[in-house]
Amino acid sequence: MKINEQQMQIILEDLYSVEPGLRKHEEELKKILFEIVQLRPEANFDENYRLQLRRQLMVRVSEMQRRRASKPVWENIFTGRTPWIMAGALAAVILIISGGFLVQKKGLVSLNLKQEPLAQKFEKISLGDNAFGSLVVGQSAQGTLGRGGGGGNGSEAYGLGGGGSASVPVAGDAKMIAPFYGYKYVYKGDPLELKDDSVEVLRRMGFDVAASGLGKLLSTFGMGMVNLASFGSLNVQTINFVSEGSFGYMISANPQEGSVYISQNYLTWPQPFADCRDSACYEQKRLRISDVLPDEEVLKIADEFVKAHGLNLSFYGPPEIMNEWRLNYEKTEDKSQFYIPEVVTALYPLMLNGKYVYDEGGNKTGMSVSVNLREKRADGIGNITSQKYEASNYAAETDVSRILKLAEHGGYWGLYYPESANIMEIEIGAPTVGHVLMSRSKDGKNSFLLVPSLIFPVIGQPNPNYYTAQNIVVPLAKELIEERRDFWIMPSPAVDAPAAAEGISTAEIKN
Amino acid sequence: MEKIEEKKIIENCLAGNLEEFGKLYDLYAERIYRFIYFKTHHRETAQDLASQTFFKALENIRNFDPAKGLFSSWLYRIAANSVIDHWRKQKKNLNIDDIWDLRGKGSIAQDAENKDHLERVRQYLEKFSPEQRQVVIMRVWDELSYREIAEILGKSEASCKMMFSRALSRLRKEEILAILILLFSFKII
Repeated sequence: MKINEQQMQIILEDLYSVEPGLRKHEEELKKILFEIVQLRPEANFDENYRLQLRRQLMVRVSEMQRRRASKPVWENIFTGRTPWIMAGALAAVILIISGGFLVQKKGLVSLNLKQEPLAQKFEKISLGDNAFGSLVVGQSAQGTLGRGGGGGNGSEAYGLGGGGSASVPVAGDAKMIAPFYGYKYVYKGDPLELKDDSVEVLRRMGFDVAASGLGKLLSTFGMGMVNLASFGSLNVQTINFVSEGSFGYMISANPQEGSVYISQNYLTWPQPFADCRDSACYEQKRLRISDVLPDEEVLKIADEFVKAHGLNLSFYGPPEIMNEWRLNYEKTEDKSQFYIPEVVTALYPLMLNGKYVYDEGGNKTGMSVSVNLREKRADGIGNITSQKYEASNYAAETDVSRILKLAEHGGYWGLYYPESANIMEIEIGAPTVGHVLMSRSKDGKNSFLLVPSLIFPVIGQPNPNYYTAQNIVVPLAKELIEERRDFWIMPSPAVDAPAAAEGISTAEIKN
Repeated sequence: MEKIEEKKIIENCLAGNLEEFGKLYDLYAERIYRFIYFKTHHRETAQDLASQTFFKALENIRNFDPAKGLFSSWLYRIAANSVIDHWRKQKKNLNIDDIWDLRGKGSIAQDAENKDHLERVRQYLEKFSPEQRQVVIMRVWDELSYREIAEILGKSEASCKMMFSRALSRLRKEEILAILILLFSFKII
């Protein structure tokens, strides 16, 4: 590694701003810096790895973003019981087979399907106790984030989780760091009582492609060019359908994960920035706040789209507009510089037994319909999921004090801060019992668990500008409570005092 | 300071246009890999953790709040957490915050071709405190700004600058001392 004179000078000037007296030792400092630079280990970045990871990420994006086509539709395809029709011709099928092979043949399959009433229903298959193995995250797509582990200095610490530390002021001096708060969640509800010694954890089931009529269809995919049987046992990971014509859609199903995504087929939608070659063009064409549709209109568009494609809304609560961007907009001083999103999302919160399902951050989760503000039409649905589950009982935590201790620190996904930090007290009220969606990853396969949890609502916060979480989540499964018995200790932020950090912070994923 | 283009990509992602995430990956893939490699010294481990980092970032980008910090800091923090989780699984009783303290305490996989070099690095960096080491490595090897370092470590920019300054001052004084000792020993002889 080399360091050029300019980089060297920047580093040195920073040094002098702290200790001006060092300037007279510049030559020695340069020598030291050069030595440190020279010591940097070689870390050759493999191009094949880079490309492979990019492909994997884009497949994941496709799964996340391009969901559409209701679950019931898929059930119909896979079981072969009822044919169906989709508006527009379905012209392309892309199969990504587990070995990493990609088979794509545009126009090979043109499906004309009859539409029949969709009748997805909630189904549950009970298994024995602890049937899903350990609930503790091995490698989770989400679950390991923002959580602590190991070490700790034994001092009292409070949570930094659940929705927001503040580190940088809005539209302020870029060099200034706002007060860094740790949070202590003070329970203000009635005394709790935990009677059950077990909880029923649900695991979402995928679609059984092999047992369906689709299996036969797929078996012909070699089309005389490739003998698919020669690969041995094959699994279907992702199936994409594309509807053509103006304002077409891409429909992507992940049979293993039991999910369907729909997104715009970007080839058939106007791309407003396609011809832009400079930032002036981009500035001119980007949306203004006046272009944002009223929430009611967004909801109307979303509802019409959902109904037009036969999605069963009985699993979901009333839709809500996800307006987090508006909070940032309101906080921004120079609003002309704020990027107005092209799409606004309506969340149809998933409900189970009449209660909302939450994500790990304590937010409602469910099916999301994105509405393109420019075109005033829905451009996708995310997270249409199977409502078939396997169920298994796990030991429940019955020690109220441990539950409340975890809640005090920000819940299962909270982070912890030394008592010496600036502590902001947040009041939380009596909890309700709900399910929290937790993702798990093992051997390259994701699974999704619904874990019964206590949802503590945030009822009082001294400064909404610094804190936005709505709920603190504490799972009831004993194993998960046990996992958090050793809280990670965040290093002191050292806003006023000399830094006393021990290492890289285990800060949560919410920044 | 984030470039305007990067800011727009991030805003697009936050608005739900996740295809834009590929551009963020292009910007940060190598930097994140190197950041992790400097803490693991093992190619396969670094690749695995870098993959985890980007998947986590993709899955959670909705939770990123530009008003609260830089995207780069957020991403590096995920990477740092991934490394810590990794070490935690590997060596539960060690100081997982500081890879340079792990020597001789178990079988930590390292790239063979770098082992001799890493030993030299270790001897050199041993002169710093763990927190100074982190700041020095992030500033010089990772070429991060003080704002990024501060946000990753949860400290103030001023304290990070101070740590860096003290680390270099200490090295400078030690080198002077070493020279004096050398001269003195020659005189005695």
